[in-house]
Amino acid sequence: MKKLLCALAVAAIAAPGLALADGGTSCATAQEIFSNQPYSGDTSTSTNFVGAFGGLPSPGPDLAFKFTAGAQTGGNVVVNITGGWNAGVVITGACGGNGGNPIQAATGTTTFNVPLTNGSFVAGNTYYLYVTGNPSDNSGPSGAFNFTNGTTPVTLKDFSID
Amino acid sequence: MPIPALALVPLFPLATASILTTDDCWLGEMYAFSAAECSITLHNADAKPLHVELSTRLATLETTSLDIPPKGSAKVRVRVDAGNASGRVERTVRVHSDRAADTTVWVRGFAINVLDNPRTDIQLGTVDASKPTETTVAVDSHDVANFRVMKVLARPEGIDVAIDPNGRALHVKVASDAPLGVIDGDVKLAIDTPHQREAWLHVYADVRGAVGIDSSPYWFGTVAPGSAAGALIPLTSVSGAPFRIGAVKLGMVEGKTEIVPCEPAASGCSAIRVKFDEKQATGLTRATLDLELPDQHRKMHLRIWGLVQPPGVAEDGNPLPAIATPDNSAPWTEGVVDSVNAPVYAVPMTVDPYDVVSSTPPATEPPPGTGPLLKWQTASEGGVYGYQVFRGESESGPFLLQNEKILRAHPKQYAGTPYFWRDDHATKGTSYWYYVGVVYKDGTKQVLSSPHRKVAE
Repeated sequence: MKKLLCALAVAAIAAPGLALADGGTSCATAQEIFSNQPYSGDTSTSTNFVGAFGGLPSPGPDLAFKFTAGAQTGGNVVVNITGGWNAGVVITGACGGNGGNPIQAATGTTTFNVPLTNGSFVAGNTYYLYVTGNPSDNSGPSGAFNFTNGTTPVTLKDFSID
Repeated sequence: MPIPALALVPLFPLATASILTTDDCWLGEMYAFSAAECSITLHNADAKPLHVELSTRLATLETTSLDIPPKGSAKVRVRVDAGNASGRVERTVRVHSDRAADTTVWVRGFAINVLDNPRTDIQLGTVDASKPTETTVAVDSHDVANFRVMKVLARPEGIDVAIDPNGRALHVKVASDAPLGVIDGDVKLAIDTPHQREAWLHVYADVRGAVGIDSSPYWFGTVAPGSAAGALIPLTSVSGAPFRIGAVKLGMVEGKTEIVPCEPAASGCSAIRVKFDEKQATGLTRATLDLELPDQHRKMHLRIWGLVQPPGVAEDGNPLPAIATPDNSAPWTEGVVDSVNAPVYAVPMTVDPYDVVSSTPPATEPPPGTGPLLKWQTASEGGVYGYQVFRGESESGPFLLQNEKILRAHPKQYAGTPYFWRDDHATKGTSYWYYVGVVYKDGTKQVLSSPHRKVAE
């Protein structure tokens, strides 16, 4: 039997429902995210609590999420920006300004991907995903967003042949 | 208080936006590496002709300039090549007019890939260049009978690929003379199916040898375009012995390179300095370095990335200028047409256009006929595009797709309603095995049920 190859295979299985405003406003409150779930939020409700992602500036307010890498990662986190603000999404290995250089980052004003290349993540390690302003835009942009990390596997309730 | 006269002046372009309206178009279901066409429609509500200019990427327009007649409409054909896409195929056409606000028209379709695993990802992991190992990868399709891989059309440098004699598997390994560094590309195959002649499989390996780098891709920090200091990329030898770096080729950016000592200098460490040109676009920046290691008789492919910024801004706190164009940083994977990466000019819709929208409830009674009737019900089906039914004459197969047109998922408000599919081509008295598969909106597939047996009556 074939196995579904999820776009993002994070280790956690349980999944919270879609909340209206997701994301932590500090490292301590970084929201844990799970594979195959949509998340949304608004960085204008937060502060610029991350001064920099290692060598990458963080001029805008930040919302923090965290996830545990599974044995296999791949695909993309697909980010949708509401209202065309100049957004950035950054993944690091630890939270805050001392969290080291970004492992992955992407920016955009509409829809963009944050690639989850297999070689970049170690299974079992915790990673932080921030939604923030474009590091190149010192105006400190902020706004609403949503992102998804894969599709939810379908479960069969009943199957018969008459 | 009187209303200021200015407030009564219509504000361009909002007041004129309504004279131009558009209709999106649907390409239909198409196979990977095929092309499809549909027509977008442009409506002019004004009493005068409306001149518009059209632009797009990753699609071909019948025309890029036209006049829409007064109080009339015009259609424009759009041709889209699905390329290696699986699932959503989305393109946008931007419509510009001097007398109306710019608007965006969506061109959508759905790409079906005949492979059972349309997004096969061959992960070879970290590989010791002196001891490459072989991996066998199944490449199969239940969409067509007698599927076979015919030929390897292309492969990334440093990857050896052999087709198994059964035509349904590949033997993949890092070549003995592979370049050091990351190999990240596509194995392109010729396949023998009526609808799809080509299939691409992604392969990734991190080849390690006598000379290496801390991380790949290597983060070079923040660098100003035109800066003499540039970005320093240190390489080290595993043994600590000195080594030479030969010719270096810089890719994806505007700049130059030079070989310099590491900072601080260390035994067995040499560095490449990358100086970005003044004209290098700012923002998150990715680049490639292809170099020769003459002492090791090897090539090395490096990927680097960082932030290219105007000088001084990061260190002294001076305001950064607003960037003129958004930096839609592309993923590393090259050559893969991924619909999500297609340029978009509008905020995504809140309703997924790939959901079936209908107020008509699905049939609750099975279709008429005497053939085997499959009935299934799902507990959840988020992200589902539709279903496929496969049939074989033994439990172990081979199985073959029976419904060429995908059976679409129910509208959301009718989720949980049973699905019916009747086999009208079964031969009475013959024993068949059936299973149901699901196709997600991203084109991936999943086997939903185990094979069930039924003797046709």
